[in-house]
Amino acid sequence: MQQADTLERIYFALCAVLAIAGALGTVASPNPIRGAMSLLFTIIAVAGLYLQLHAPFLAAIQLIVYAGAVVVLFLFVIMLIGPAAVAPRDGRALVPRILAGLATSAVVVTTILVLSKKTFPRPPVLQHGFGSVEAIGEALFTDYLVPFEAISFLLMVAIVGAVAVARGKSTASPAPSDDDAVSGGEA
Amino acid sequence: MNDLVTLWVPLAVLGLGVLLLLVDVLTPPKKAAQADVGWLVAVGLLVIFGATFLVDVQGVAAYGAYRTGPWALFFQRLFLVAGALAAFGGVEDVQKRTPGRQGEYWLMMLFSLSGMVLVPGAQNLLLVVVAFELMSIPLYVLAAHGKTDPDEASAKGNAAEAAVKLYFVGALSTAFTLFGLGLLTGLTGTTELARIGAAPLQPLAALGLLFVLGGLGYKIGMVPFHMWVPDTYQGARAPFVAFLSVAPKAAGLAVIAGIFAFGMQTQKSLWVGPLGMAAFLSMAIGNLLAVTQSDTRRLLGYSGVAQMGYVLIALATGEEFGLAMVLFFLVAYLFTNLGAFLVVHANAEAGAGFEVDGLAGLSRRAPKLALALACFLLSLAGIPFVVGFWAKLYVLLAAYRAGLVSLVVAGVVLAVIGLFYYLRLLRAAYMTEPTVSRPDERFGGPALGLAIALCVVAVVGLGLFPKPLLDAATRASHDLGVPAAAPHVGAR
Repeated sequence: MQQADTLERIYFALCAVLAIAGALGTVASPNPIRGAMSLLFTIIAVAGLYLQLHAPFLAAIQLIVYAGAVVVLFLFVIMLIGPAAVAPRDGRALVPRILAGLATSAVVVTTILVLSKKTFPRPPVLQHGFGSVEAIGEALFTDYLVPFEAISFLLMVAIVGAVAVARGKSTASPAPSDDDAVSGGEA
Repeated sequence: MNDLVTLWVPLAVLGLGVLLLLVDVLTPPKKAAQADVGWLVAVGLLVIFGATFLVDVQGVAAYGAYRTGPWALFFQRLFLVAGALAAFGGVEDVQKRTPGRQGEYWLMMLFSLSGMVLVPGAQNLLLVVVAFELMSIPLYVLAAHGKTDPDEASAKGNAAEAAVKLYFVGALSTAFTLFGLGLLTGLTGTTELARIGAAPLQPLAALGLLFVLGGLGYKIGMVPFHMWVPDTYQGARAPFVAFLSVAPKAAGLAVIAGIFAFGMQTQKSLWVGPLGMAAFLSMAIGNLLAVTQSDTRRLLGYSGVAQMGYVLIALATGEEFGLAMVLFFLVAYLFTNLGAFLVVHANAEAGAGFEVDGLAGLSRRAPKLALALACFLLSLAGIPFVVGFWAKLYVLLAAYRAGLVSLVVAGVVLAVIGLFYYLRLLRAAYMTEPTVSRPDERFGGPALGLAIALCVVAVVGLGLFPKPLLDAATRASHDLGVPAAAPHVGAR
């Protein structure tokens, strides 16, 4: 029992450290490809945490969707722009940035300090089948049916919207001549 | 079956969208380019608005995720009216600038509205977030609409810039909101709005609330998060901005009221302070920055920031009466601000541009338009006998009754500053000679005129007879289920 507990802690620490290191790498690395790969570490580590939380389906989805699709998409976009692309040097003043950093750190440190003095309530005992595909499917199609349907619609709207924004120039090309004629008539 | 009946307003808006899609697809492109599809949208929305008075459906749907009642219905009517007015105001503009692409503009607007009408009824945080995004994403597209339009009026700010700013700010604010909501649901283990108030562990709940307030504050243009407002208002097309400046803000406030005043009512001490502070900052910074603006759209943008401050005062009371005043104020703000933007748009259509000086001699060039502008500006400033006066009065009254006296004083003082720049616009319209005189000026078409006229009727009508609206707002606020005003020392 004791041994299992220790193992669990080591596993958690491993995942947590990997997730935080990945997150830091995503933000801090000047090379966008490295940033994307660091994001991959975070995603895998978070999937590991899901596993520990008895959510194997969520962990699998996390890997398939985020590691498998989203990061790859990021990489494609970076390659398209050119992997050599480096963010321009941030020219903003140093003082507000330091102040912002200090303020954020203060919030984080205070939160940790306060929380470390509190005892967390025991989590509720899991029901049988928690986190399984069946349980998630049932939740999606009963309790969360309307949000679920709304999300599918939202995705469609987002795709249509992206197409509408992106195709701007090609179809607008006959329009300028029309517009010119109209404004010319007015003037 | 029952659930579908309860969800009839969002479904009706979606149905209108499908109808529009069919009409757009089935009309030959040449014909479609000449038609004013916007009329269909505007009339359709008005029909749905009328139907809300005939259909009496109340109740909970979808396993408690959605609840319709006076509160949800009040907001839904507000959104439908805003959509209809914005459609009337935009018909000619969309037809003229992007004749081949009208369908997508109106479709996006209806999609956005379908998300909006879901928002106030959402009782589950998941649905709140999804509905809110369903509202926001089409707005980014609408802001970018006509981004390739070579138009001298939009040369000073362009639609692409407006859309990108709106998009990044929107994405960031969603991330903030989600992080905050994640903390809250993590602490309570539920996504039900009615039960998140049980969050233990004070510091984390407070942090979560702060993130939620920040994220939603971006959407409504509350002060520390208002930077995008003037740029977006300046860059996007004015009829769309007229819509953007009222409806999404009302939706944002519906969510803030739902999460803070309703969901977290037991932890009021956590959020009254930050909300009051945000209210004060919005009023102060909005009003002060508006004074120096020379572009009417930027000026109205900052004025909108200030107006949000007044709403937040009433929201910070966290009581039934205060929330009723929030609703009243939102309706007043809807007609006033939408109308003001449409007048500015009409003036720009006549070739006078968006500068404050462009309003010069409006009273002589277009007396009716100038009169409408006067109504709207007086209402924004809070002068008696137009609806804006009652809105400000009631908001301050609610704050006084809840004991927020310092906010009342700040509100009154800052309203005087507001008066200054509203009157500056009026002076330009009434007391300055026209810089250019062109007898054949056209101030937009009949639909735009109709939209402005409807706004004027509402602003003046509700200013003279505010009682029905007040009653409706009180009923709606009662429906949300926040505590009624506690007897406060110093209040009557």
